[in-house]
Amino acid sequence: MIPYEELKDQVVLVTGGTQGIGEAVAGYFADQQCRVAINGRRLDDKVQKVLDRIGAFPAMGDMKDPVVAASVVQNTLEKFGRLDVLVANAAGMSMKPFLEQEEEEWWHQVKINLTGHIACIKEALPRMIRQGGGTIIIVSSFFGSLGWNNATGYGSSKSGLLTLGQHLSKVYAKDNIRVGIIIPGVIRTPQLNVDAQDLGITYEEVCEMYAKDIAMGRLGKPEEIAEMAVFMATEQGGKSLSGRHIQVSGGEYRSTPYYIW
Amino acid sequence: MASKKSKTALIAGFQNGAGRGVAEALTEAGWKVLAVDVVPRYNLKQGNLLAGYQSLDLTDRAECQKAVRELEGEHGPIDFLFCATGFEEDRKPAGFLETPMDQWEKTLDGWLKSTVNVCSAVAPDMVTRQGGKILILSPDYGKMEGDFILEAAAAGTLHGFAKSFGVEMAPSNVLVNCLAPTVPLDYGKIGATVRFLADSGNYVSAQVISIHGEEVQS
Repeated sequence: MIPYEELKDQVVLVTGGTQGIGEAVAGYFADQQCRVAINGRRLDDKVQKVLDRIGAFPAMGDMKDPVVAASVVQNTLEKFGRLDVLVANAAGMSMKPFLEQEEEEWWHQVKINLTGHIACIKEALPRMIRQGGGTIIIVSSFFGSLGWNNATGYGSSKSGLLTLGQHLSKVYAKDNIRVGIIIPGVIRTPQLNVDAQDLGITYEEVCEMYAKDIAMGRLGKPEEIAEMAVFMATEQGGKSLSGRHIQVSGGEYRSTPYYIW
Repeated sequence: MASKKSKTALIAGFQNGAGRGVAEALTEAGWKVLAVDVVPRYNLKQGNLLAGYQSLDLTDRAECQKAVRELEGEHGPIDFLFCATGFEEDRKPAGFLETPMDQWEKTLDGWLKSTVNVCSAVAPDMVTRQGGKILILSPDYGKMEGDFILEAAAAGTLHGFAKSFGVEMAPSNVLVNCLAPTVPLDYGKIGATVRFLADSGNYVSAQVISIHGEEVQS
């Protein structure tokens, strides 16, 4: 990882930071000597170990409730007095054919992934503006940009996050707010258990299956998303990429990005 | 963290702001930087940034392959190629209807032919070594006032090339991407982003990566 001196002491909140991509992102920001808050649904022994390892502040709360999601930001602000980087990463996924999925289960994903983050961002933005600027990093998904079987709810939430990020970037550029959007490909995280369950195969089998379709022939590592998030939080990275997205996908799901701003 | 071992980059199309900006950024990050361009060495601006240089016609594939062989023979394998070809300093601004066809062909040769020629020279050894990165500059004219139809068409050919070539190269761990900054270009942003992708970004492959250009007062 490239060290960026400018990131030292910045306050970073990572939603869904207790495992997978979020844990790696939180760890990488901590390595940059940032002050890191990690959000997860609840504080248990497993999460406490992650917090201890990274040296992070617990900002617990279930993102599916907008009031709770906003309180996650409030708690972080109360602890550190400012917020420089918000990483919107928390995600829920349940894979089923659209016509067979219960409405509540379908919407549950949208509530966590999209609505919860809108609540977080609404809470964070005024403070970021008052403090002279800030960075919002949105972790989208190729399920959103490409569409995917049995993932209509998840895909809807993730494509919504992409356009949310583009428009946030455009409207709040005048306030020195940068919005970076990452579209991970298939990354080796616990979330792949959902895919494995959906397909009725093991975790390793699902990894092997996806790897066959990836140009580079392997799954991504959470750290490969984390390094992109860190770059987007730098001055030059933020200025270069605000309102834009990058697919970190090992060559899979190729697209040319088009932008409104 | 950047590797302690000095790595080698080749810049195709050095004598423009993007090429020189990237040379500066990579040199600062500890890279050994080589370059090729049509300009004679004695006319180079900031030639002191370079460990090696060859002047040649980039639209001639055999010349490109010979130059790359010679540079690699002297300086070792190329780990990273940045293509910033196509800038035509002598191009007279003219709109779509006013531009003669031979001028269009020159524009297309500058962007597409030069880039594919250098790629054809550099990529085979990267495949043999099972590693390397190629980043192709394709300026995005979308925000410019006026008629840049032909420049945009020529630069746009590189999107399809980078993605298709990227798919062919990815199994050999050679990462090919396209960098699409909006015009007017901001060489600081280009330098920082290219340096990041050269030293890091090890799972970014076959993409068109859009970044902002210079901030323009509207």
